[in-house]
Amino acid sequence: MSLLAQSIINGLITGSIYALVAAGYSLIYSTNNFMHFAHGISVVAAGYMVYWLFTLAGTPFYVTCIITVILSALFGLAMYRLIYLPLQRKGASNVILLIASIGILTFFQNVIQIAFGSGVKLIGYIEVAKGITFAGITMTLLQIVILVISFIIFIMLYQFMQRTKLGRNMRAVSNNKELASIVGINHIRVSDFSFLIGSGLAGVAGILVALEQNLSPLMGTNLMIKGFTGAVIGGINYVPGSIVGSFLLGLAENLGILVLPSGYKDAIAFSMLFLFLLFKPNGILGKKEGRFDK
Amino acid sequence: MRTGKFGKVAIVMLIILGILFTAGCTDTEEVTEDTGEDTITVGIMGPYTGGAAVYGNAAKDGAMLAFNEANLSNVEVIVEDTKSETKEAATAMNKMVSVDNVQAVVGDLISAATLAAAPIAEQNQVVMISPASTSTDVSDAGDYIFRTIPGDDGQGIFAAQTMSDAGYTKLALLYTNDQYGNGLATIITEEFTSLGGEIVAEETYEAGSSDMRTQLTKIKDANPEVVYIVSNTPDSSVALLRQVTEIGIEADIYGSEGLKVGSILELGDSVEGITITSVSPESEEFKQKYMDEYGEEPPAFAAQAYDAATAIIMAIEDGATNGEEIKDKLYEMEFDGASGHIKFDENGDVEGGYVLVEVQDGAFVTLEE
Repeated sequence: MSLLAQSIINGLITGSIYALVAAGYSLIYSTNNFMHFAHGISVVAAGYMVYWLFTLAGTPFYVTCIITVILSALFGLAMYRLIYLPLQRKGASNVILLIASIGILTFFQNVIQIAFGSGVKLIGYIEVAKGITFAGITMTLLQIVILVISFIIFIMLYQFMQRTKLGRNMRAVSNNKELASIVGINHIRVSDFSFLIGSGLAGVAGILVALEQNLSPLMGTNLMIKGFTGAVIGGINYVPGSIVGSFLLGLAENLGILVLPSGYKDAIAFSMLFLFLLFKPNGILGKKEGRFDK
Repeated sequence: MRTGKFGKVAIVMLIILGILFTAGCTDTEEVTEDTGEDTITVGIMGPYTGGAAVYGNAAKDGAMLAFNEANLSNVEVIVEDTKSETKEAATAMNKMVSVDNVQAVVGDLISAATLAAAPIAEQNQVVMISPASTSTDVSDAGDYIFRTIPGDDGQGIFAAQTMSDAGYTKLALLYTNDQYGNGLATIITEEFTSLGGEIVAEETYEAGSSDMRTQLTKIKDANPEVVYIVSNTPDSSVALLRQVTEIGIEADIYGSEGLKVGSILELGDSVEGITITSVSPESEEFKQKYMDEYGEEPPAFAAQAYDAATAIIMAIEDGATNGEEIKDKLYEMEFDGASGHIKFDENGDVEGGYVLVEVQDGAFVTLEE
């Protein structure tokens, strides 16, 4: 029994990390309509920023977190303004932008590797110790914090998308870019904000991933693939959907290997990705008028 | 068009940096001047980027130390990065054989990568000496395939016997789902059960992944007395050991030599008392030489790479000029290397010895046998 309960908790922890990656990714996808795979590097860069500011330079932890989130947001904006937007203005198709995003991901992975080396980095803010056991479930304080922070962020994000003018504009652009332009919404400005907010979320994800796991230059690819899979499962053009999808993915991976040999963990994730792409490309909660079937 | 000048400049800069970076990957490190007709080209290949880069760079440094020391006028050394990927190893070997005309290669490290490159080397009569591939399959990879590290059979049997001698009867295995992990796990299972022990749980994970909580939860549920961990990437080693503590596994922890990386020591008290089965340590003389050159203690596989390079150098000094002659000399030679006594058997394997290393007060301490 406790094995099942513990696995559900493990799935939720994994899922919350996937969801933090997927939320920002899906926010950017829904307003810009191209695959921003370099989102993964925003997460990793944020993690290394924490390592640099906190572990190496000794900046207080909370200051480090604030600086990291702000710089991540600006990093995202810079990617849009310096690379994607100029390419779009030259009439580049979404495939070109996808390739450009993979290029950015690879490029910065190598920059990080040159700057920090290929070894594993530990933040060392929290001492490694046995988690708190409650009703047969063991969780560390950090994992509880991660779950709580992700829930708070997701609620805030949802409220923002539903209640604020900017959020409504984002949904309008996501829904129909031409129509949004006609009613006077500046889609470049909306894209600016989607990159700022989405990459800021990547900053939060980076901080939490750096604390919960370790840092290595190549971790971005894996995080991105899992975040993308979660987003597709839940509905890539709808932020709440991609969050739900990521939690489902985390649960499926961890519950799946209770029955199957653990070597099948990634196979479970990718089988789900294929099944959804084939039979439900808009995901569980994705909108019918989504771009995948156009 | 309103595309800012800055945007264009940034793109051009990215492209230029990209080219520079790619060019930097295949640097040719010439040891001496090319003297013309009888230059023998020797390659070093391994993962200098990617998950296993820490080990790859150590091996490259170790091998370069030997080549620089020998300073042979008729040897040119080239380096190829195989990026911790199997297909890259085959690509690198193909390139070295067809473009650079190499006769002997030190590398690869990862067993799967070595095995991917081995058929190409064998077919083209190029000698390959791996400083780190321990998979049992490497023994049968071909006449031209050697290694200066003993195979997994040795480590597996040693690990199983050590744990059995220590009185453990219920063992849980957690290993990477690849050639190395599966090979080692099979040998430990066979040996440990034949010694009267029982394998109570067997879990795997993908090399480089950092979330093994559910695997560890299953292991905890099986209530083992001891857990043996097989890891060959530092990412996974650190993540695993951290999660072992967090999940609260009470069993004693043993592990393969992949756990012997400096970064696990940063986990502090939680890794105290972990026991690692490791190949015999490098000679003091080599340790000193390496420290003088690179300013740090030699990481795993540096000594084995030094010996692999030394073997090739000795064969060339002895008059060998091509892959076939180097191969013949290798089967005849015998010397005391940095990593121990080197004598290749008919499979191109060395015997080697093992020791136990324990984490004590935040350092790796070799236990007296």
